[in-house]
Amino acid sequence: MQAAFEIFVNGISGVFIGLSVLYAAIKLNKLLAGREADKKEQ
Amino acid sequence: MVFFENMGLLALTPGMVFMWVIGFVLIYLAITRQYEPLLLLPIGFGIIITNLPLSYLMEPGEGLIWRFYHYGIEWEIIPPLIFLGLGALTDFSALLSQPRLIFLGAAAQVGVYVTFFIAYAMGFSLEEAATIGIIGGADGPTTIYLSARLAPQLLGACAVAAYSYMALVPIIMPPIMKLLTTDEERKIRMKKGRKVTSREKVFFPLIAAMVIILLVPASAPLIAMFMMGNLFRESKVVERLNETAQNSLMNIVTIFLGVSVGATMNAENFLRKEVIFIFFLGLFAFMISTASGILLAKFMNLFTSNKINPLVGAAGVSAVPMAARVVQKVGAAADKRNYLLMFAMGPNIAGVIGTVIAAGIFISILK
Repeated sequence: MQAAFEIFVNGISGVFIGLSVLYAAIKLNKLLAGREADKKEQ
Repeated sequence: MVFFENMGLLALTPGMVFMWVIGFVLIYLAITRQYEPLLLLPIGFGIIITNLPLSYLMEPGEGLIWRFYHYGIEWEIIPPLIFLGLGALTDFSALLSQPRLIFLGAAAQVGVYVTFFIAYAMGFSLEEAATIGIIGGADGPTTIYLSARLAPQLLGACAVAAYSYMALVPIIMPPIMKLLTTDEERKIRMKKGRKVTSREKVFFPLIAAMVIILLVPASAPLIAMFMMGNLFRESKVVERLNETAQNSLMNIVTIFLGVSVGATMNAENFLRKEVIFIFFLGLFAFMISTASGILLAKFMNLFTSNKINPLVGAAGVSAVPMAARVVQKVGAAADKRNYLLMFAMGPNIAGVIGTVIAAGIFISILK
């Protein structure tokens, strides 16, 4: 049961960490490559 | 007479006949109700032919369909190729314009892990419990990929459960969505996201592949192909490859995937009480995934003035694009002019990535 609990905790936290890092990467991507649209909108 | 001795008819068992019925039901649902016909039709046919005695279609080393199964699924070739096509079909604009919605795709994976824990407590092995839990991600190729790696004996049941529930999204999700949201919440109109540049869309698959594979290397086969397919699409310089990945290749591998999955469901494997548990647990996983996405959206609303319509959280279960369409439909029932489809596509796609990460974590720990 302990093994299952460890996978449970690791799994949920792993998914959130993974997608949080991807979130940060999307934000960074916007800074690097998203300016073109901002300028056009202005 | 030797002819009569070699007849399959004499080796027929009641279990095989029962499996024919299941095969016919899937074919019926595919043709008349159009429930996931691209998969359920070949799966149904695969079930019927594999339960014809003495055909040896799934005989290891000899059978025709065994070869499709062995080289396609056991060698982990077909699910990544399906992901290549999915990547070529996916537009990430909705996610890139509102990246906060990515967390709703993460929340939907809670159902995967809760069900994993319950399945283990019910007596399934860790590998089997992981395979059952991943049904909650509502992503057929990922379910098949994980099952082939961890619990091949459950592949047929888990794949059919996943595709059946994906087809039943319009029936399963709305009651949960209505139960967990108020009428006011369902009427929330979300602010339009910003315009995404084409350069961002080209960079994204490269960045996403690197980030996810660095964090969860076991997810590499699926994520790498998914993002390569998307790079084909967004680069706009390899239209032939993009078109092939989306259509011809996808169609070819779908045929082999469907018939191979169906052929794993012989009477001996399938007619066990565990299979009934798998179907119940799969449904449970699906429901928890839907609910957890909605609840996280409500939780996020506590901290932001730019409110999220909680219905959008339900689209965190993959089932692209059916889940997003259901969100649009339920939202429109509360407010006719509320267009949630584009917003729902964000968590919907994030759900696909989240499910692949969840599968990668299972593999890295259990394999």
